[in-house]
Amino acid sequence: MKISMQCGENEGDLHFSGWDHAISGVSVDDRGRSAIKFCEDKCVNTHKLEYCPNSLRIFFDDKTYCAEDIEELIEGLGEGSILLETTTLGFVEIFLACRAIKGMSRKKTTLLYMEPQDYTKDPHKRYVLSKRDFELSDEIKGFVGIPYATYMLRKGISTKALFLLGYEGDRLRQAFESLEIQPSMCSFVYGVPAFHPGWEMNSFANSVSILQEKNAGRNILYSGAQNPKVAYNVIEKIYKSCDPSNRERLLISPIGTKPHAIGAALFACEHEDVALVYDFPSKKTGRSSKTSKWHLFDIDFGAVDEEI
Amino acid sequence: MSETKDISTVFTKNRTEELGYDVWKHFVVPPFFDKLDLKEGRKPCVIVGGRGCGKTMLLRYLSHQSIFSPDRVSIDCNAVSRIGLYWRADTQFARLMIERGHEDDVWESAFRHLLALVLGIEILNSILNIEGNQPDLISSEDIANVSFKRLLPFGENFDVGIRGLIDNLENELWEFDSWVANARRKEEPSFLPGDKFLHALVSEIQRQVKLLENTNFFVYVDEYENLHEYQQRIINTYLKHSESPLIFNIAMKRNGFKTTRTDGDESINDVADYRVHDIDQYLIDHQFPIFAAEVLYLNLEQAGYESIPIDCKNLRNPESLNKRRCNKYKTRLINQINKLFPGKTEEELSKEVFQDTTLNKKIKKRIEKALKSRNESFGINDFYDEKLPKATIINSALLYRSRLKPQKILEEFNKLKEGKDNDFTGRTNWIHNNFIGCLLSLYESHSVTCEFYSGFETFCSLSRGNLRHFLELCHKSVQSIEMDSTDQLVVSASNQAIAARQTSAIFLEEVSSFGRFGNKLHSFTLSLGSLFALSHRILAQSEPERSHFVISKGESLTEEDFNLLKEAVKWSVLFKVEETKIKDPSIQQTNYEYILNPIYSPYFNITYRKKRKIELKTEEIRVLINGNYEEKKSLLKSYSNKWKVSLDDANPTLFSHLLEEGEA
Repeated sequence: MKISMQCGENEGDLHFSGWDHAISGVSVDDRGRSAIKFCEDKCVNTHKLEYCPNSLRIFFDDKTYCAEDIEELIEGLGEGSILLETTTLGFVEIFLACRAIKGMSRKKTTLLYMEPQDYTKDPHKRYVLSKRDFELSDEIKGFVGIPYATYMLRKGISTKALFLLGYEGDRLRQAFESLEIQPSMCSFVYGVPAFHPGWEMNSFANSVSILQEKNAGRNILYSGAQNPKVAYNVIEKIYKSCDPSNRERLLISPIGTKPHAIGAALFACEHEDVALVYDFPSKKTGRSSKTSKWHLFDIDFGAVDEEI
Repeated sequence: MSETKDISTVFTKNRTEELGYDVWKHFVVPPFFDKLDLKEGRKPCVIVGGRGCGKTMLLRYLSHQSIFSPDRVSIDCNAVSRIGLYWRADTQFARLMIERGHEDDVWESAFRHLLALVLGIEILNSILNIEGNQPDLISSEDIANVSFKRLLPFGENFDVGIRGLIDNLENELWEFDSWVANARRKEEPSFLPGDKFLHALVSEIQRQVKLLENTNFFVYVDEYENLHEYQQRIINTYLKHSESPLIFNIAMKRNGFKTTRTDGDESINDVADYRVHDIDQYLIDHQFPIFAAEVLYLNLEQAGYESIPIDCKNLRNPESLNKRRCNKYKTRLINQINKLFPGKTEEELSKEVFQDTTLNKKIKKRIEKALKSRNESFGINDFYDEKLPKATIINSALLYRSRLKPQKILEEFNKLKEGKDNDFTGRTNWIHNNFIGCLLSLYESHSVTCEFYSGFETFCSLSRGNLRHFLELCHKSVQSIEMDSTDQLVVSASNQAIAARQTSAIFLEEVSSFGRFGNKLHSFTLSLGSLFALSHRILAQSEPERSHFVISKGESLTEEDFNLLKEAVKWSVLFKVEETKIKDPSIQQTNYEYILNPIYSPYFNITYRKKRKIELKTEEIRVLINGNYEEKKSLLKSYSNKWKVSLDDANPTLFSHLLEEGEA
């Protein structure tokens, strides 16, 4: 698999020639609206995709299907080029769509991602608890496995867990609460450098007490917040450290930046023996404001990337 | 001093999940242990309790890994009459077992198959565990020739010995893993028929291993509340039809039943089908302080601390419960632990106030302001006497009560000085009724934490039966431990109070990770705590120490509102208790009181004692539950106006939002 990346201050800085299809999610903020408008302007057809973790079904162009039916749905788009709008698509939608595209003869896709200019702070929390508390999610559904990339955590089978961390420390706390994982077997990836200088402090501040409490701070790794390729490499490093003779396995939970989640989704597409878990926070409307950098990630599942 | 270093880290593993499955070394037989009827009882148990009460620890102790632990020196040969099997469903995986193009009955069979595999492996492993750790009970010869030929109808490769069958069931589990991941694409495996397979397996073991012919296997399903409804229904069916030699038991948080239905037409019922063991209630009823002290000393012993006043070996032995119940033992234990975590008497707390210049000034200022507002010509010193610190502190509130004339207060104060009958200490007992409320109101917005939050008994009250909270309070306290002149460990009251505040803040922050409504619960707790904190700031202290609420009569709460309250009870953010004395039944909607978990009280600088309540209207509860920031702010402001609470010098972390834009 090959990942080619380009980044710009606006769409004028990016090189592309348009797409036949765009698949996007639901926008909740400024950048989401810009991203969807971009899709409408640059793609012949646009489609909506949303995954429901309660029913394990997807909504595709307002119709509901089993999540696994995405393979047929994407196959049905034909041989045309596909843009996945990952600013608005959720992590699971990105994984399912990429996995389906990998199975097609075309094996190529492009991912669009726009960074936020700023995240919204909750006024109540700002005063009452901590200035670093950012309320990005309303309701968190709890950690659930993902079709195609799951296994049961059980006694006697060693599992390494890898968390790609972001602003919301509570999500990590809930992971420790609900998943039967040993803190000593966990690794944590922070997005450094962050989207903006200083933002990494929010991630550190919101999770450091949990790592301390769990005595789990031994395996800390760093990967640029906007770089899925480095995230992929970091995941691979942990994956390779699993002991196959003991059937040791890797569990990945991308609860940080979207580019990190993209790295995790692509890795799971390439490695069927890893499991993904995700907690499906409902994103707050207006969770971020304005748009910062634009990214296009070209993915070719049929090519070899020497940097990966 | 090397002890100090060890002790500061001894409580870091305060979640059972981090201790592993063999918890023998870490377990303290709880005081209610004989209530569980584990010697002869065959009736399934439903173990209920909040997060951190010790459910998982208990279940793991009852399971074969602990009961036949290699750490045990000797084991009664009767121990094999009960073998416990612990199982906690992996929720993230179990939640994938719905829909995905399959009919419900396929997933039901799949779940039974999963139970057959994991519990089948657990049954077989329990025998190997006993043989490995306690060969006097089961030797390798006893099990060498066991063969499962009769299980051939269940699987063509089941005609093997114990280890062979474990391997084969493990392989089926790998296959099952893979099928669940690819349920839409892969052909389903041949499902085992759940309990039928387990009964056949046990029966084959008992036929061939004489020592186990009268053994009962007790399955303990932990975190039952996280299962899908159909999965609970299957477990309910197994529980209802539990009989020797396979008995199903479950453990869950409060309100954990999504259904009480079984696969048939019947439901499971308390008493008829199972016995409920409410761990929280048991701990409150059975002297939690003694148990907490014992757990603490066991932890200290394991950290290498030598001056342990009790024999910790007794703590692991159910036969020693009676010894642990004798008064002499309890008195010695409590005396010792009070030395480790000394508290302060009310008298001492009042004197502290007068030694603090800022607080001292605050009292005088309050007295002066009250007299001025009432146009009274009395001087401050008429109501201020350092020799009577408690009464003086009370005066700083009584003078704000419009129904109480300053002249009357002065008369009573003078009677007190002269040692005559008076309202400060007599039947009216202003001091008893008001002291803590007045004290806390003085400490509001003060940089020093009130030492009201210190002392072993206080830590027990703050924990309210929750061992995890208790251990965290101890953990935070001992980080600043000191040695006294006799080289005994002592944590100063001020360090304890600071630790209580820090611990409170940590647990409050944790609320947002409590299930799917964690963020909502967190916001609710903050708002409710702020409301109680406001109440504590009322200058007159006419209703001191309010830390619980009732729902007043009026429009009913919706099911959704009640669900959030239920969720708060499930996660022990609130405790719901039946009210025994209702002054005026016409103003209350239900006869239940909701108490804010006392562990949050140091954060809000409010009382941890259950004293007085606030009657909240339905619409106010709804704002606390569902309101947005502006609505909550408006509710708190309306109360601050109603209670005439000045926010000028308010605690910035709690109330600054009410002062925004110069509004207050």
